[in-house]
Amino acid sequence: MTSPNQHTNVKINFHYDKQYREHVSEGSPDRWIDMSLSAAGEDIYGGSRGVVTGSACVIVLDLLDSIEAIRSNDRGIITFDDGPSWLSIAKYDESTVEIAACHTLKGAKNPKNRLDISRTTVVTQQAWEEAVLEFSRKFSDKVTDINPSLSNHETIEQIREKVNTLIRSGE
Amino acid sequence: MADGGRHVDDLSASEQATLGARISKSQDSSATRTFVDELDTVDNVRRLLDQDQASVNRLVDWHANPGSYRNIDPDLEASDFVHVARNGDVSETRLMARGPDESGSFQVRWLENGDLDRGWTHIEARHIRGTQKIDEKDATSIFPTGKEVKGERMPNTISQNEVIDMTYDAIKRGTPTQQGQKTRYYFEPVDAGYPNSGIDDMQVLVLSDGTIETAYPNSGSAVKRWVPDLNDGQGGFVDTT
Repeated sequence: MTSPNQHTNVKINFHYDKQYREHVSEGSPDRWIDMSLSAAGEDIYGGSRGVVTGSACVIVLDLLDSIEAIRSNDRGIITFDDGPSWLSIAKYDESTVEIAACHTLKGAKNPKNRLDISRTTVVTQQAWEEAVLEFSRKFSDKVTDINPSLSNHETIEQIREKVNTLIRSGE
Repeated sequence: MADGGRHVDDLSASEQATLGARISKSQDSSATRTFVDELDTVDNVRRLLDQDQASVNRLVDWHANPGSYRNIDPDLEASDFVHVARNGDVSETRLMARGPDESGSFQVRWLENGDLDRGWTHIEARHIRGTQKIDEKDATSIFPTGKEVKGERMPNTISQNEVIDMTYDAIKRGTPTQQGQKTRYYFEPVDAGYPNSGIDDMQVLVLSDGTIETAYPNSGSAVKRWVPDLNDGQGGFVDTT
């Protein structure tokens, strides 16, 4: 496990490939998309490791829910349905969170059930929240750039509202 | 003109003629007439008329013989069948069931052959045969159907048909949660009718229109997981319990 590093050390990226762009152009933003994630200088998904794949909107909503969860001292779980893989986010101490790349849902829910090969990293809670909020905002912008008619899409609106709510409640 | 039927008067003359032809050419005209009568709206009658005769015959047969076909839910209503016909391909449908959404409202769900991105083709390629982008992505879990995946024979505790059976039961008896417009069903086969499956838990993901996008095992004594990062990037299997 790594130690908390500087607070700007979480990077989340979607890989907007041709197939995904076509789905968005056709009005379906919640299709499979590859994601990479690095934290505290380590590749959790992508980079030196395989990317992880899931439903774009589901991933973004799960990530936003993880902020609500850790603010309530609960655990957030991001599900990648085209793995499957799970990312578990929980408070590590007062100002940091543990990010765990898990191989089973049971392991994501309870560290005692994790397989030996699960990977964990600790970053500041501020770094996690800022990275997720920025990533989510960029996602909704990207989708509506590709297909402006999706600005009124129910799930895109839901994402935008969640981002705004979380920003307001975190101030 | 189609004789009788509660929606006939709401149809145009040409629609009535088409309906009459559908009924007279159907395998079982009495069952077809009953099917049409049970449709809840005249719009659903029109949607039925958009289907070819073979599809109409199949829908009427499923509806007229509840419980006779594996993984076709006997609780389905005529309008459910028309919903699937309108949004999917009836000739490719492998299961159809009414399952609850997160609010408890029942919706029709179905599994088509699909393609490498969704449906049975996706499930079989990625979670049974392990041939779909298995090395290009993060880890994946394999249903224990005895197939050889990456040179290793998987446990052989269930058949491919039982994968579909479990998917059906996940819709009927699993726990639904919703995120955005998708619904995910969580199901525990070992504790819910498949004691020797070696699958402790699995999930089924459903698109907003009711199509099943994917189904996969989470963990269990017979569930192996391929992890591409293992063995210096050569990949390897791990047990999931």
